[in-house]
Amino acid sequence: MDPLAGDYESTTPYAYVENNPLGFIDPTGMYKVDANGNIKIDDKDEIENFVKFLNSNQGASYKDVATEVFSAGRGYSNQLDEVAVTGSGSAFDNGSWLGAAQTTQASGAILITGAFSLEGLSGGGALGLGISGSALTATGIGAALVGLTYIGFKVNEAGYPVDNRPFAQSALGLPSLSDTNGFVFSKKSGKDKASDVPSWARGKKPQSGESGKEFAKRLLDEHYGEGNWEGTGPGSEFNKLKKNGDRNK
Amino acid sequence: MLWHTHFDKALDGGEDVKLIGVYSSRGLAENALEKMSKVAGFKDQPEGFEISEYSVDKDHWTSGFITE
Repeated sequence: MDPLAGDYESTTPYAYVENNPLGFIDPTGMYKVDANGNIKIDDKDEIENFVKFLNSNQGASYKDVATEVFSAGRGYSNQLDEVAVTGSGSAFDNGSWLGAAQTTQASGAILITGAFSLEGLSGGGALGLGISGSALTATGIGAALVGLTYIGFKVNEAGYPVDNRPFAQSALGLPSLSDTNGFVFSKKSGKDKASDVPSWARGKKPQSGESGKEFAKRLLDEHYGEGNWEGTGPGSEFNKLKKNGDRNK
Repeated sequence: MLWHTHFDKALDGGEDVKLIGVYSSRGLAENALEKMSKVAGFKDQPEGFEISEYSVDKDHWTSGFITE
């Protein structure tokens, strides 16, 4: 049984190999992999390595960091395309850099998983997390830009990391050991990161400064003729386009 | 049609949408909204109500869909 399994309540002690859709190998037994393939690392030495690496390698890519974290023989899979840092000493919040992030609180620790902000069909997306040295809202979604270090990486249109975006961008500080009690590499769940839109809207993206609502109205007016459409309720073309626009603006 | 959307990060997908009813006029939908805004759950999130008008016997999703 995984020696640290008791510390990780969102998976079972036996999940680390049996339910492993990514083929992740964990010879050390120090990582936990849940049924969705998310990897949780809360080993003190690994956290220290991670924090030290970030502090000495600003501008490192996601792949650099992942390679460092999942170093030789540990079976790193580049299909993992999100990272979250967990902490209990201070609150974590996402900045406005990359849009919305889901923040959940569990077991006294604050876990943030960032939402992908797709920048266009050919562009890609990025995940941003901010870490603050002082307490911010524990479960809020939104911007808090004081003293943040951003951790992010760019993904290609398939959702996998590419190298040309810095993983760590220093703002006013870097993650400290006291602020960090773990981090999570995860596979993109798809939830909140993609949605279905009418096929006629393929590739359409909001214009600069355009809200999701404005985006949806513009597209519907262009497609059906101005005002020649109806229904804005849940499940409607308007509603789907609005959500898509809000996520991609 | 009258819906209510309950936004909460704890919910799967961050929200839960309920279809309350389909009415033959906006006035009836507004009456239903008034009535439902007093009951448990709904009364705490009156901003979640939405009334939207649809024509019957008409397609409102007119093409295929893609995932983006």
